[in-house]
Amino acid sequence: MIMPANQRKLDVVEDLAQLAEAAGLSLIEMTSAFVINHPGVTSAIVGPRTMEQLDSYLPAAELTLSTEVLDRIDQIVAPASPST
Amino acid sequence: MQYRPLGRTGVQVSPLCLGAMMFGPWGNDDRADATRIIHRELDAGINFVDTADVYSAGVSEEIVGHALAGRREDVFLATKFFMPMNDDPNHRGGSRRWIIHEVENSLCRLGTDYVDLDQVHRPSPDTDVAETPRRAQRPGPPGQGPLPRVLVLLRVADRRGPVGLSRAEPGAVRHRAAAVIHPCARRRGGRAADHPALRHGHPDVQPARRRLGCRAAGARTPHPSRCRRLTRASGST
Repeated sequence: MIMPANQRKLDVVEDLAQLAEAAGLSLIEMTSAFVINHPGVTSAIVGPRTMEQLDSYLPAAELTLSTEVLDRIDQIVAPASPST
Repeated sequence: MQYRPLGRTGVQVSPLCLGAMMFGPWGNDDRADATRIIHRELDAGINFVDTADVYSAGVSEEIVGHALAGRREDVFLATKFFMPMNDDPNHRGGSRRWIIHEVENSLCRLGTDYVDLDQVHRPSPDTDVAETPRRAQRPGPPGQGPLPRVLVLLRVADRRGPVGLSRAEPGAVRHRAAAVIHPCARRRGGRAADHPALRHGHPDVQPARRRLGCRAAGARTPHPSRCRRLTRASGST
């Protein structure tokens, strides 16, 4: 049984996953790059537990997201939305 | 990889920072595997590593310290303090008393003489943490001024709140060596201030430790009991 607030978040994740796939990126790459591309961010802390997790993050360090992808992310999750 | 300036510190950091929270019993307790992960990050060009005293009760810092052996100068190393480290009501928080002790403990676990960034792990509405770094110093050897314990202390209000940067003294990093050797020299009756490694501010304290017969933690991962001896020798509890 999933709480409604959490179900909404999972729906958002599904939309973001589809956006990432359309952009030729993994979800991890796109979301990490989203943080790194933000003008207020110097560095994004990633905390891998396994080598596989690390390898999934690394490409984000070299990625620049297009305006189209960033705009679509803002459509899926409006900027400055509350987290719940 | 494009490096970015970290505020006005003059330091360039990678856009990804390796968070070490999952290294140790809290996550990946295979130290060899964790070391491989850290090395893979460094080889990929990441030069920014973040851990905390509380992560796996000090084991994360030990793992990071071991993995950085021989590469310490390649990394901008960050850790934290504030979370309770045991049941003692004063082995936590943002008091000057605790910061002075816990920075020593972190340095010992990390096997290094300095941290680049020490972060206040939680907001502290009833403690003047912002004042503490200016006074979180220890008197240096005779003839020298006070020695800073960390290069930069970053106040993390909370995950959504403002972040303030207080106090950066990147040029003073070499002098940190004196504060580590001095308590050992005092215990053995030597004079740390006379040692050429300290006079010239050489960052490699291993030869100095051997000359002084000091058994304090070196660049390798120290055994925790050595860290406690170092703390007692310094006169702190």
